[in-house]
Amino acid sequence: MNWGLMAKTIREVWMVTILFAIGVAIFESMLTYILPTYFDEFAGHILEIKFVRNIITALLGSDVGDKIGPTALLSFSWVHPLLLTLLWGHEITLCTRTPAGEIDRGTVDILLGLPVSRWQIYISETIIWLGSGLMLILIALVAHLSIRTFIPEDMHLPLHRIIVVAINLYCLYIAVGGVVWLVSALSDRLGKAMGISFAMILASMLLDFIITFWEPAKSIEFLSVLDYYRPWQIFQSDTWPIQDMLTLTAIGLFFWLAGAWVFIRRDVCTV
Amino acid sequence: MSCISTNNLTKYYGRRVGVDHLSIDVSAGELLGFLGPNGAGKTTTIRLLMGLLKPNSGSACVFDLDCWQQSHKVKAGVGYLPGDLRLYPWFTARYALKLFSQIHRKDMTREGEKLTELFDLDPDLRVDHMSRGTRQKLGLILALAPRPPLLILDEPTTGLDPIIQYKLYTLLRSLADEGHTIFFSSHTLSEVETLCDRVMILRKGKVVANESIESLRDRAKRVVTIYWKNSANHEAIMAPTFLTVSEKNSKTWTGTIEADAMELMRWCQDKPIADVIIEQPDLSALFQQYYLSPENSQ
Repeated sequence: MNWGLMAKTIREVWMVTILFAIGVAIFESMLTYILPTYFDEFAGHILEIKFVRNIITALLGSDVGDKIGPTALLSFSWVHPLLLTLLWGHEITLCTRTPAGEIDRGTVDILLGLPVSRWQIYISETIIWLGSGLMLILIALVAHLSIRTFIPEDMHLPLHRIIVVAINLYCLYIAVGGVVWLVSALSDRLGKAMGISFAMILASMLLDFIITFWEPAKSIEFLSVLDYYRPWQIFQSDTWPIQDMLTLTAIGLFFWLAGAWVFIRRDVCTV
Repeated sequence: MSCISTNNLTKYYGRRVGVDHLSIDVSAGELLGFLGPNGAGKTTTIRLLMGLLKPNSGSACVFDLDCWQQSHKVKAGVGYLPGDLRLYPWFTARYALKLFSQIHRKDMTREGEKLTELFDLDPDLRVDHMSRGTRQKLGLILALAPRPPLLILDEPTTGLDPIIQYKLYTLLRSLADEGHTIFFSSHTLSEVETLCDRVMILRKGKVVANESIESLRDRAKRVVTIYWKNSANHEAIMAPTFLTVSEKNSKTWTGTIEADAMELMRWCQDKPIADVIIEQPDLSALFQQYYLSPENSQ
């Protein structure tokens, strides 16, 4: 590990990370308060619409059926597309910095001219990505716990299960980031790397929605990363989704290692 | 001792050749100029030496370390200035020196401050507010500040004003005298001629000349102008074999000599000559011969 490289990365990402953190804090706070407080309005109108119920089912990871209540709706705050978009947007920004971003802006010659190995560069960037992702999820957790003091206690989600959901969400963050690292390692253009990563995430989410409408798509359900992140089931049962967590971590690790393998072996210079 | 050595180093970009079976050797303490037209393979060679590119075949070694396999060890002893220099927009000289000291694990702020003063650079000016020449100065400061045993500079004088260029030449010369090895590419023939011990010319990825400046000078032609006395009748005088006269009129002869100037002076002694002007050896003409492809030079 090289502290100088980490200092450089922090210097470049602190501002964008703070902006994403503010977004996560505001959004998680709003959802935590609004969803259970205005449950009656939601239940009376919006939840009657089949399409909306399907979307919620897709995001929560299983059909909530008639069990939908303020607590179920509160768990939706952990899978809301905007929260996921903020987390994934943050990691796409960070994980495409090296090598795609450095090549694209032409600074890679200076970076690789330094007496450090490519592996050291990769590790330094990874530590900042993992650290800042953990910080964002902790901020979401703190925002959720802070705001729930303003809602009736019987609507609260159990704390230990919220923590399990947060850990599962972090595993999801690792899985998506791992794929983005590989895309970045294969690219010379930042826009291209970001675009491909975004398209892959979007495809994965779409697949999750399609499955709720179209039965035959169930055979490829395993391709959607959201299939391994099911907060509603965690809140319903008292078990740890170890298999899902391991699957997500393994996906992340596999693609991250593949990204490292490509980055260390390929030609890297300003084009 | 060999500081840089390559053996049949080859790099292709798809079907296009970058460098082709390049074998070079640079001794420690040498100041070597690397010349060639655009696309000749100068930057590719430098990037192979820095471990940015992986060779298709052959090998490149710096300090007897493989440039691809052990590139981070190689770079610990190299100060590198890229050709198409682009720095982080938030860099200032002061901040960059502090950061590079952390990365190099070696304090280079003191040396950096000296260089900042020498190159007349504001240490707190951000890169995104710098002109191209000022950015080049910062790139040079960052390459020179660790005082590495080897400097690899890709067109270091690009964008620099003549005063800073002169300061850089003096600095590079003194570093070479102290034993540092300097390998730099250039388009400017005059700076290579002024500065280097040896010149290597590359064309289409191959070395077409590898000689000391002295031996090039010996081979270079000199332009000579002979002024005849007004009353002289020089119509019958025959030019010696070593003098190629390209232009004759009633008062002057203009041409080139390939021999020693003393030989011409001896020939002039018994001729009705008013004045003789012998110019410096014209290396540029010689370089241009190398630059042109064989089909063009014919």
